[in-house]
Amino acid sequence: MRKILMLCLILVWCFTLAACSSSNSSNNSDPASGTNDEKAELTLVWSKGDASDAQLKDILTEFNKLYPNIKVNRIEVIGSSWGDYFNKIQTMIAGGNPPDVIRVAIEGIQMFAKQDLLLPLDEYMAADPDALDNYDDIHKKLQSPFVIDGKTYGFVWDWNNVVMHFNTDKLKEAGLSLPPKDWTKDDFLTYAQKLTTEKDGKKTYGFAIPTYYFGASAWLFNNDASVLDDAMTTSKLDDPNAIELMQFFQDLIYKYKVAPVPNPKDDATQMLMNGQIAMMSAGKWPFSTYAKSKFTSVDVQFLPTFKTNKVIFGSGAFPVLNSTKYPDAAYKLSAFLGGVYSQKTTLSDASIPTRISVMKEVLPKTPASNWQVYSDSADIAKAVESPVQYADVESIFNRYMGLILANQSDAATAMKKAKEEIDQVLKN
Amino acid sequence: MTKKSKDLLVGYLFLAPALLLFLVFIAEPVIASLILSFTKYNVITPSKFIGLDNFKAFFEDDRLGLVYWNTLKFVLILTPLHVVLGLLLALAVQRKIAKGLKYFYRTVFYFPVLATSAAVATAWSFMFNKEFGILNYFLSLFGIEGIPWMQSPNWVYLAVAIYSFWKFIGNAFLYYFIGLQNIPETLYEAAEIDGAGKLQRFMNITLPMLSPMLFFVLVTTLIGTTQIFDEPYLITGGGPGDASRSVNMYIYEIAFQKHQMGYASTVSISLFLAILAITALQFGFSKKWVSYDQE
Repeated sequence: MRKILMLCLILVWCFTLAACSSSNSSNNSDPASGTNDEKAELTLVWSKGDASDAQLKDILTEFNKLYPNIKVNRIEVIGSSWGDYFNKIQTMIAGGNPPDVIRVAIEGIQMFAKQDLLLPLDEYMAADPDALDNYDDIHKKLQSPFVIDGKTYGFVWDWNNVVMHFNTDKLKEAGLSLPPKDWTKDDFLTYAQKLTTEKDGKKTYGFAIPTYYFGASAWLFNNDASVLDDAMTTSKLDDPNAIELMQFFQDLIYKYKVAPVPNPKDDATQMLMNGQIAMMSAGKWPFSTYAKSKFTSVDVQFLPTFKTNKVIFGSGAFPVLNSTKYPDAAYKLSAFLGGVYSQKTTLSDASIPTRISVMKEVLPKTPASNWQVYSDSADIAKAVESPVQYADVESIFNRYMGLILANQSDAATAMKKAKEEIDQVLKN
Repeated sequence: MTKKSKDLLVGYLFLAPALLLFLVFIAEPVIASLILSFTKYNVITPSKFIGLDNFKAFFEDDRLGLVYWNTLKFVLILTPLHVVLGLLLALAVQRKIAKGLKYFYRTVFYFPVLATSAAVATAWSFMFNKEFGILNYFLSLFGIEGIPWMQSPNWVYLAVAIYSFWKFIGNAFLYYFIGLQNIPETLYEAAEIDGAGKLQRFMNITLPMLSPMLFFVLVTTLIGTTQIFDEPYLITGGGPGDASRSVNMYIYEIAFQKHQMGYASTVSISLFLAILAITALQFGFSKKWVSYDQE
């Protein structure tokens, strides 16, 4: 009797586990079989920060005019960084609930593609080129990170560089004007010092140090340094130029006292708007916050030239996971989200559009007199280093940069240790 | 079916839901962790048996010593804080004060437990800001300048302890408060007639009668602080560097950032064994000071 009861319990348990696992559906992967009548229900991972409910509804209404039988459900995945975001999507895949189409930035495309999680879209492009809405309109350089080993994994939707944002009220108070395009490290330090003030107990710092991988990488590029080598097989953080830049960041806080000590939850955009800082380096994304807060006292300029002047870029697209049950429908959605209508709807005041036609139309409306810094850098920008092990590399870099900025280590020691750890990760 | 068999059947049926939950959510993950600790598994590709490699890596891991040391520091700071101050708060509210005031204090002390951790941690994080935080502003009025709450490997523990106390003291308080309610008033009356003072009544009635609850709070707090994750994760992110990273945060990093499920399981087993040993010791010593005789 006891044995029978135990057997029943085990069977119930096994049934429970089986019910929790996902079913492996057959994959209709024939590109030629897709038609506009195909019925499909797709899951899209796209945050409301990129596209609000109203914007997504608008895009999907237009999408459904072309493809009335494709239903799209949005899932929002919130991550504290790109690495964190990609980890959560990987966990969804591992948990047996993979979405169909995901928003992926350049930082994650290698990781997803090299793990064979993405569907190459070239056959679908050949079978249904109309869905692409004029592929030649996409900026080739910005699209290039999504073509890996000759296979296309998405159609670039947005991009960002890193430029300097100025609170123009603070510039006026300090008697300064927007610096020229070719301003130098010395000019930058002078600006930071003049903009650091204290009036009636209210402190303003000249500059907020970027404490995230993309932002810090932009400054490393400008000092002729980088986190990784070109082949992304070893770290270059022990390079004297990289150490010099990180030491300069530390000095801005503790020697020159022109930058606040960073805190984990700092919001530099908010700090610039409320006058706690006068300069910060960021892409175009803060303009969406500026617009919401009706903040107009802002202008932009290229980062100062240190040893060189290289502009960084990061871009994003909507790849299709190869586990999708509806590859043709997912391709159509991926293409539409990267298309003209989607970009015009979502990128008016946030990231920079990647369609040349939309860039020309949208960028002049940027509420900053020097908005050309965004369009001028597309052709010369260098992609942020994003190896397959991006999440690990980002985490190690941020940890050691945190030590430097907290004055718990000098730059040379921290960067040497960071290099050792990153090299170990890149080996595996 | 005999009566004994029927009784057994009924017994097992009553037991089944709890047993099922135990098997699925406790036994199965523990066994899976044990098996995974002998494998290399990145959740995307199938696992591969690698023998004792993860255990070898465990003893060669430079960061483990620091995260265990950090966790021990959290245990040593937070456990007395919750166990002692929770009791003091409960005793203060238990005093003969107006009923309405009692309800008010109970709500005030327990309310933070109900608040969403991520939201309140963000607020505390702004308060701890070295340059623009309200805590440093008030301290500056007394001539204390710029405490680096998040930047110093020493101050960071105080920041986490303050947040943890504010957020979770309500739990210990509530357990003690319930325990105090269950002590018969007649015992105090009898002691008072016999001439016992406040301290004598506390030492000879309150503490012995409350000892099972004290033991419960001590065990759960110690287990909770050994597994600490939310407070440092939300307030400091484990920084600066690894200065406030706990073992659980490190396991999370290995499992869900590096996707090394095998090694993460190995570290989890080490933490499990550590907690098991501490709890066993506590139960051993409890015989000497915990009294279950409530008559």
